[in-house]
Amino acid sequence: MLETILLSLGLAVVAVVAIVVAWDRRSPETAHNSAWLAGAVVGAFGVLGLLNPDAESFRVEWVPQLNLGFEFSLDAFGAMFLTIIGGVGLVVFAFTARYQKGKAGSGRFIATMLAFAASMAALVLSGDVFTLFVFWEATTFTSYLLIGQHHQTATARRSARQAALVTGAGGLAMLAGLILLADEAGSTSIEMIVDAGPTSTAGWVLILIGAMTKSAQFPFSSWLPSAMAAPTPASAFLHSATMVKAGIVLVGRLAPGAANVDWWAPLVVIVGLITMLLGGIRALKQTDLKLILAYGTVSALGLMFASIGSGIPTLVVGGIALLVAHALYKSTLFLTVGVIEAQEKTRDISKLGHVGRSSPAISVIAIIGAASMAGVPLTLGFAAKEVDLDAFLDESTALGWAVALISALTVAYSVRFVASLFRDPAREGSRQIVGLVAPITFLAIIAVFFGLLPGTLTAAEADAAAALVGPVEPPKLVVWPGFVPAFGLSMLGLVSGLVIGFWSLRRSLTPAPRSHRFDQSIDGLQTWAARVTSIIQNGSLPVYLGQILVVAVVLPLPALVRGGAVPLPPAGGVVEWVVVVFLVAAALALLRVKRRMSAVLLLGAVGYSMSALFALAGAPDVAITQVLVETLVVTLFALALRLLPLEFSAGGGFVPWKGLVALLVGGFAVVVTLVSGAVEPASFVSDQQLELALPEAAGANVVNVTLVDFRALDTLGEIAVLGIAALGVMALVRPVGEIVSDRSFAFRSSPILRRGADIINPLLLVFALYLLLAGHNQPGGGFAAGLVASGWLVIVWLTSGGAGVRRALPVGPAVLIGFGLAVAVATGLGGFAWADGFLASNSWSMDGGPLGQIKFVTPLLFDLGVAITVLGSVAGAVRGLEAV
Amino acid sequence: MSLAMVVAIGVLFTIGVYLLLQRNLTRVLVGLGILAHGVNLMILNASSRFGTAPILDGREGPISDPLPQALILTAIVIAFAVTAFLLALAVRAWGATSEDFVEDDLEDRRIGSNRGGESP
Repeated sequence: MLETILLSLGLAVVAVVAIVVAWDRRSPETAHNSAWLAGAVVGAFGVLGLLNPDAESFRVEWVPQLNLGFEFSLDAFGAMFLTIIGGVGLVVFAFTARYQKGKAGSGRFIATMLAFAASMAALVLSGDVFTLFVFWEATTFTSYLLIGQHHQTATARRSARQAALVTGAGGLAMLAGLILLADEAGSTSIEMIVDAGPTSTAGWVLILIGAMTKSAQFPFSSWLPSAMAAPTPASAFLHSATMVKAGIVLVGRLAPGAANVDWWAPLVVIVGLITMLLGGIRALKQTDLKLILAYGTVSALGLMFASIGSGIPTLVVGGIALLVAHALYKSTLFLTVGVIEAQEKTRDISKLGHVGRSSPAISVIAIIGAASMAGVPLTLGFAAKEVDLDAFLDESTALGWAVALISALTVAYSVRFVASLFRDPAREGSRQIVGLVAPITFLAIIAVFFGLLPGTLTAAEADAAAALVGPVEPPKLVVWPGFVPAFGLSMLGLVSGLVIGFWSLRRSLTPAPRSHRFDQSIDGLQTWAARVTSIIQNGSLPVYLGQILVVAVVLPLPALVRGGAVPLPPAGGVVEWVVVVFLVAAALALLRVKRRMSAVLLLGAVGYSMSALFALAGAPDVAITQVLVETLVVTLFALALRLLPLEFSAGGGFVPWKGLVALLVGGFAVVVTLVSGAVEPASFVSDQQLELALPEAAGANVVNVTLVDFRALDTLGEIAVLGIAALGVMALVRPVGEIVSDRSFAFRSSPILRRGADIINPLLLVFALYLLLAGHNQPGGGFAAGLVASGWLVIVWLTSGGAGVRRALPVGPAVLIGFGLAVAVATGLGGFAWADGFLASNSWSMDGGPLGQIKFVTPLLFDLGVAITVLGSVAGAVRGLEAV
Repeated sequence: MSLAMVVAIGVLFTIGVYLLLQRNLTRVLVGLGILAHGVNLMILNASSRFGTAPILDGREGPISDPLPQALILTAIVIAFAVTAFLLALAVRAWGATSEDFVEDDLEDRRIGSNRGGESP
């Protein structure tokens, strides 16, 4: 049921977003009206919240292997929040419809607001930590876009960046925390985590940081006042009523699970109350109406954070009462500021002294909202604050006094807000905009209704609190609490707040200097990054390579040495040592060699030693391939180096830092080898390959079977790379041939070589054919066959030059490469016909009379493609390089 | 795995990297080839099963792990392709400048020393 409803709502959101955007494209001048559509969808969320179907949940798997999924559950807390989103959202969109009239960018604004509303709804309904994270980030992202709505101004861009960085970083901290908690609890479900009561300190700290950034708690609160660069509807909706409460939702949902963490509740309360205090003080210094409200929001969030985040049932009840009241009065006040700004074109309180008398409707609404904010009796704010204050007093008298005294600041900035509108006795002012006032009037009427009958909310708020912390005592939401201690403290706060508020207004109307600390630190970071870049990016290729190598070696080192000492391997046989000594000698000689060709020959010597080592290690296929490749490499080098001077140019002297880096990497390689060799895995991937080679792939040579059957797709990619590289060689070198054609060498070949070639060439071709056919069961295969055939080609070239090659192999290299690849791909496609998929193999046996049993396996065709591609590639490389 | 192999791997990596860090293109190319050899040997030694060739002809006794061998075979051929391509690049560079020497990239250095990309 819930699944269907949420799915339909989600589809409706997507559809309306599309309509809104299209509407804006078609006729931008009427696009503001599309806010009504968005409002209707958001209202539907509210209706769902009001109907509050019984606690229901469902889960849709996303990546089951990683335990990632979307899980939603609708409990009383979620329902209450949905109602707030829907109710406030509806009014805000109604307001927007008029507010955006005649403004550009309506489509983007309205669509983003709707996307935000949907994300926020999904966030409060999330039953899984990863679902929560996804929608948490979605609200961060939409908030970023909305703050940057007027992206033409630098302020908007800076503010959007600040909000995105602070809440984005917090989101990542939260993700890390959620992973830690989920890991400890053994489940990603929020309910299970709370039940398990994990105790990971790092996890809870990270969660707290995430919640603090999102809900603008000290010291992460500065982004919220900056976010006032957003258009007023966004400020009212995101930055007071809903999104900034996401952090509170998070700690509210998880706090009951922190029962075993004894520092949690005290820390959360301290953070919240400090934020409440600092926000209140700063609100009193503001001269911008909207900023007074913004700092007021910071302050109010502090109290809610302390109450709901503590996880103490009585406090949670009080916090929820505050949350509902705050959503109602703060959105009213923000929208009121929106009207005032639209009318008077300013938000500076030194210029708005006449508004109170010239716009009576607005001033009445402002007074209703501010009274609730201050907690004046007969308002919902009063009833809620009484409940919360009572809970704090129950917890500790000192805490109760602290809250009551800090609340005086709330009263003070409420007074500052309203009284600033009445400083000027003039009655003339701009005309009131009815389309904007009407939606707010609706909010104000609701506020008055709940102010007079707060008891109507008792059941809903008790249920919401119970959804978080289990059965609770319902809040005593009453108009007149009687002469209880909390009431006395409230009145004390009210009176002192009145005094402070009027005093603050008299004292100063000059704007407080805006703190640029955040921007400065970002600028500092960029300057620092530029300085580092200018050092490491110096244009030298060796330096770049050295940096990459050092980082690649140093980073994994801690993980490598963590296992402690590893045993030394056995010394190895005599033959092995002889080969290794030869290899090392050849490699060392490379350091001192002066002539290019000598260097290439030494490289070849190392390569041949390698092939000997492979042969000793039981890898004949690799050994054969290595020998063949090495021969061809030396040939290609020889071809290319004809052009270059015999000796290396000067400048090959020993450079200490290069030697050091080389030794570092060499040492690293030794450690990696020793550590990886000491690990005895529980199972081998190749066990399966050894087991299946004969029955499934009809081949005894498991290496070849792996290449042409088990991992044939890799091989297909590999020969494609080979072909592309050869084509690249041909394309790269051709123009050079034109440049330096005068340096071409006249071709001379020795008669002995020619006679020898006549004998050996046919043998090579037969051998290639043998390797190809036998490769499935004996050492060999397509690569070896192709390389041997390439050797034939090289000999032809050495004896009779390019013309001879063209005579012996009339087909061009590009055609050969293409044909080879086509054969391989065709074999792959054939897999659909003779087996069950791309590159799948099959085999047939038949009686060959005197030849005995003949067996045909489809990978043979594939190997033929490989061989042809290899031959074509080498032919291409030879033809390219000899053309110079 | 044997000590001989480990020595060979260490030497191949060290010398390969040292040559890779030179400014002479031919040396860089040779260095890359040597480094590739070191890596291949390392892959071979990562396996802990050695014996006769992995060819199932009914012989008894331990056989070598076929998987690293298949990987190395692939790596050898790819390294071959890369070497050929780089050779062509070197020839092309020589054709353009009559040098096979990697100069400092002055443009890159200029970009690197440009403090702070953002204008106020």
